[in-house]
Amino acid sequence: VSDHLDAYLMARAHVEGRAQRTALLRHRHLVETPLALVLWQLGAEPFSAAAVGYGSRPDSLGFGVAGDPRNRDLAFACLRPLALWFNARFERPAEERETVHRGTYEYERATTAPQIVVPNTATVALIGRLGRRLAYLSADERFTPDPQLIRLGRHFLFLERHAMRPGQQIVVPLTELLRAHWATAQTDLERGSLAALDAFIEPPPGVHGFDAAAAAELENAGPLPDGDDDTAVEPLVQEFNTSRAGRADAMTVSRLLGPIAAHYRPLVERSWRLLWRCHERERAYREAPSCGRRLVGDREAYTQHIDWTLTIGRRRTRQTARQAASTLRELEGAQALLDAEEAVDDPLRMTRYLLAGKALAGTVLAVDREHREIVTVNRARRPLVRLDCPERCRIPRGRTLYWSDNADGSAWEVHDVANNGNGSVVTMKLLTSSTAAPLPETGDYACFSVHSTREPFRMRLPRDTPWTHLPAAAPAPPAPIEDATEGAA
Amino acid sequence: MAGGRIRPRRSRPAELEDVRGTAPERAPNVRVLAGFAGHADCALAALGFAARVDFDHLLSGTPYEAPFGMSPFAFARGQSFERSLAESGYGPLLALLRERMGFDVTDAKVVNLRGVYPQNRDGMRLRAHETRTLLRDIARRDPSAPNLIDGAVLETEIGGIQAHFEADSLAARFGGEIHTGEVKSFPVVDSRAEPDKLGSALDQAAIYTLLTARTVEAAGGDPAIVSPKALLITPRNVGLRPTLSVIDVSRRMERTELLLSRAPDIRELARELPSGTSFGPVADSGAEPERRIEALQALADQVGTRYVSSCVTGCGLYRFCRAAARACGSTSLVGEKGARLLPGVASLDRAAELAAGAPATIAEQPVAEQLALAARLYDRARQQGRR
Repeated sequence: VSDHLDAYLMARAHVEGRAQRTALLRHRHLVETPLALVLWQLGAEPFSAAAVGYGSRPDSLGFGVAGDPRNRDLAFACLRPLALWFNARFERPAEERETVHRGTYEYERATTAPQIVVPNTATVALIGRLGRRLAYLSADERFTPDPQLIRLGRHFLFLERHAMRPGQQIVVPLTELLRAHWATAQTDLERGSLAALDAFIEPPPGVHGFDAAAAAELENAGPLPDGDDDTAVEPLVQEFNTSRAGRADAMTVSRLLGPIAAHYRPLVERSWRLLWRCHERERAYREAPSCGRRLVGDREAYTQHIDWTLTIGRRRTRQTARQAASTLRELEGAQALLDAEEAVDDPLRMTRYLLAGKALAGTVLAVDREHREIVTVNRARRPLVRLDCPERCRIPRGRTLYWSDNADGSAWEVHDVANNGNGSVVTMKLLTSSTAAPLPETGDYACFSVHSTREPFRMRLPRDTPWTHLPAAAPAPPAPIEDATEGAA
Repeated sequence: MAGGRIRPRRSRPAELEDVRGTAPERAPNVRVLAGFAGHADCALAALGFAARVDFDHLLSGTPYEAPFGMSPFAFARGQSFERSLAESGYGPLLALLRERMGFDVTDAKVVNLRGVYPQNRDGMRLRAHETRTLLRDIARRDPSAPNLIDGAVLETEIGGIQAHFEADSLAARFGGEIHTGEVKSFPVVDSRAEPDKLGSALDQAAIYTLLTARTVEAAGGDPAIVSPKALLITPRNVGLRPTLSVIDVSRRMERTELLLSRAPDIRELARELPSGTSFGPVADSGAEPERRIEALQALADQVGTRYVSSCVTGCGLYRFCRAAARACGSTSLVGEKGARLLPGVASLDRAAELAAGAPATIAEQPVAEQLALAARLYDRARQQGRR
């Protein structure tokens, strides 16, 4: 919620009883067969999964339960099939690469990147915690870690970190995808539930979105369990622990898992259906053109991750001041570019900026290609474009704007604004004499906004960290968080 | 008993029983108090809090029942962590205090008040008395005073009624100062914890610290010996091996003090209600759910409610209040940020009318212009998309 457009759309969603679209296009790339993941954890046990569901198609759900994930051997045994399935598919796109030349510098990047789809951000957080646990596993006298699990952990850690990057398309938490494309008459907190969002977007016929969402929000999509669900599974886990009598070998365990699997399967399948329903619905929208550009960034990050993982593989768990500064700058830059690209791609996204007085749009009345004026000393060509804007223009003269059809090109300036009935006639001036710069044609619809999609100039960070940002002690190197002394409970 | 008279059990005001009726009761523990702080400006929540009604279970069996069950595994995790700290004469806990706080724990004296007294209101009163005595001895630097109290019970008045807070934490005294400890089972990894959980743990520690200081003062000691630095004891990493973090909670204590001083008094609230006002008919599980909801609706109309977005996480009546907000199209449905964008507009339905160009009142004028403009721009953009 940020402006009156949101307020209007929420009111409209309330009156019509269903969600309102906030974009004409889909601003995230979605592949047909992503790696879909549904996780369930046990109570407040943060570092393990009680049940996992995975697959690349709605009709092929891989499913597993741990029994009692508080036991390390059982928790890892549950993750192993997932690791085998996931690692193979996650690493495959890195095999096909292209070479990129940047001046004298050249590097490789994968031609595609994998995509992981999960129900919500809580699942991404659990992926991060599992990654933290598995990535740094080390051997001790009683335990030799499975290399597949360590790889899974490293991939998971990468995914959690990459998911923070605005506009990235490797990890798709569906709640975020839906929130970015739909306005509902719900609070931010309620919009965290995938089932409730889905219900508001597509309520059953004749049912108001509010009622559909209120009923659906009771259907948890994981990974945090409902108290009632855990109360139901608790006696099953107890019985399982009694029957296995301290053993954790596959032979014993697989015979005893039945009742626990029967508890989790309907929960996982419910989330699974919900996940694919939302995925299919969003995929039906046309993809915005800039998704491809952002995919390049994803491919590069992915390639770097794979190369690092297969060689050294360790990353700091706490960043240095320098890393933190450049991460922050990168995230902010990515956010600004994302906002600009979405607005330029999509008239509905641009509406927000028209409303805020950060953009103007109208029909081109006239184009003066040969207009000249004195620029510092000499007379230079400065083409003018006169626009008939249906709404009153509130942008002052002299403000720099960019033409949305050439948003990575030269800047324009608001040259003149005159009132015209309820609207305005605005003259825009191109700030270059280059004849290569494109101009709109008379009769076209043209939009000028503050958004430029050109990569901004970036200053280098100082070579040495300033003393103000030097910590008393260097951040601790990454270490396993598995307690060697405890292990199997 | 060394510490003077046990305070007599105060008779509780009749209004308390009258208003609560047969509704489930909830003693104001730290969690409830911190939860109430989140919606202290809702009159119905204040009445329920003052009358000690358990909102989480008030609507059981109706369509508005709140899904606030606690996972038995989460509970068991907390229990087993607490137990592990007290193992072999509090060895793990004392080791932590020695390593992290530099305390000299040789011959440390630990007093355990759990399990000694009955688990009821009288037991709590006895434990509160015992805690008072022990704290007084500590304040006097009595050599026989304990270094650590497990299961201390602190007393205070909330809204004119005596309330007991069972510290799942402990007061530790080494070298003069008293620290309050708070035991939580969420993990700390790479020196970080989940912010929400950390925040509520510190709020609870602040309440205990404040009450400890008050108790010391009431016993004639210097409240300054109670340190505002709380000791947070949590598992580190994956297992249940404990770690200790020292966190200053003085700002949170100030907030708690304000909250306690403003807690609603049932006698005052009851005075303004017509006689016979009670949560009893709402809780009556023998009655039809519709009748119970009607009774709650009547009560809500009587005292007034205030639905905000945070009700969804904390209040057992949120499904009821949200449905009421929806019935009148209240702007609170879209959260505070959304509602702030619609000042002077009575409802979401009205906002939609204004957007469609309905004549606006003077109060609605500024918002109406923006909404109408937003609607025009939106429709124009959609048409462009169709082209």
